[in-house]
Amino acid sequence: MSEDLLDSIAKLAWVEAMQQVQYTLHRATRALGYGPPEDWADCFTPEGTYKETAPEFVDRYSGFDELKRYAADCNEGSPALRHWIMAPDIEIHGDTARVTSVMGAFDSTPEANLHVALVGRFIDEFVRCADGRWRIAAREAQIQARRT
Amino acid sequence: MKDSENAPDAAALIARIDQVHAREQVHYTINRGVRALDYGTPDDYADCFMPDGKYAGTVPDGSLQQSRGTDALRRFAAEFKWPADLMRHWLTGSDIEMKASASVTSLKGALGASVTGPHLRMVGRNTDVLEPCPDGRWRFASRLSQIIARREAPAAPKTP
Repeated sequence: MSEDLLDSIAKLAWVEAMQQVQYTLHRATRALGYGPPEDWADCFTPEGTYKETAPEFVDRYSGFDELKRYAADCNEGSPALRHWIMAPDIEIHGDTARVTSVMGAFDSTPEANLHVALVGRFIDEFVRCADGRWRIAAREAQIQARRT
Repeated sequence: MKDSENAPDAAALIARIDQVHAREQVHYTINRGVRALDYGTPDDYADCFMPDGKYAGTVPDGSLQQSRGTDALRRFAAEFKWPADLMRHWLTGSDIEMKASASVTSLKGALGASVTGPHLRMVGRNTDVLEPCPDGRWRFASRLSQIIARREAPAAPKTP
């Protein structure tokens, strides 16, 4: 095989990894806002962990069932809450990736009308799975400001 | 028709892979620049630019800030401070035109926070030109950052 072709194969593998990671990032955002909760949990590895930190609390969830419950309860009491994610900085290392993204959420309530509910960042550790998908092995959601 | 006539031409296939790789590299640098400005390191931010890369930023009153070259860009990132406890940039909708260089226009903005909670602090656009580098990365040859509208943080509620 020519050197050019080998170089192209490596480039293609990197592009595929980048796009699979972005697929999971956006799928997770959609699943949290619109469900179903199983889709959100499926963005994690079976033993995946989710840690949510804010100045006043730290919450932890792990494994498919706990993650699914978190997603199912996320919008409870605030049905208009919608998360977003932008500018994912993706560093691929073989079959793993570390990703830092800007994240936030909009909400609308009778008291506050439409507003920015929170802002922060995600720090994600991804792994390539046997089915070709890249899933989150560990996510830390750092909420840096939120409307209380 | 023989199978060999349907086989993709290797050179054409390599060229197509190069194109998608280049476009993904442009995305990589744009997003890396956002993270590096808010969370560091200044070296990471400067490394998103060519060694003689240029940054120019304008605000609604027309004032202009410019930095050129790795050292100046590193200083810009290190000294970047907002008059607020929290400021987080975002960027979306990148319109990428790939030729020998890449011309990119993106919607950008920032969220801030005050005692009343987070709020939209600024919106604008980035107009970037990126060029390919020998290491396979694409870096900014120039960035024009135009802040179209911004607001100061809401005042803290008066205490009795």
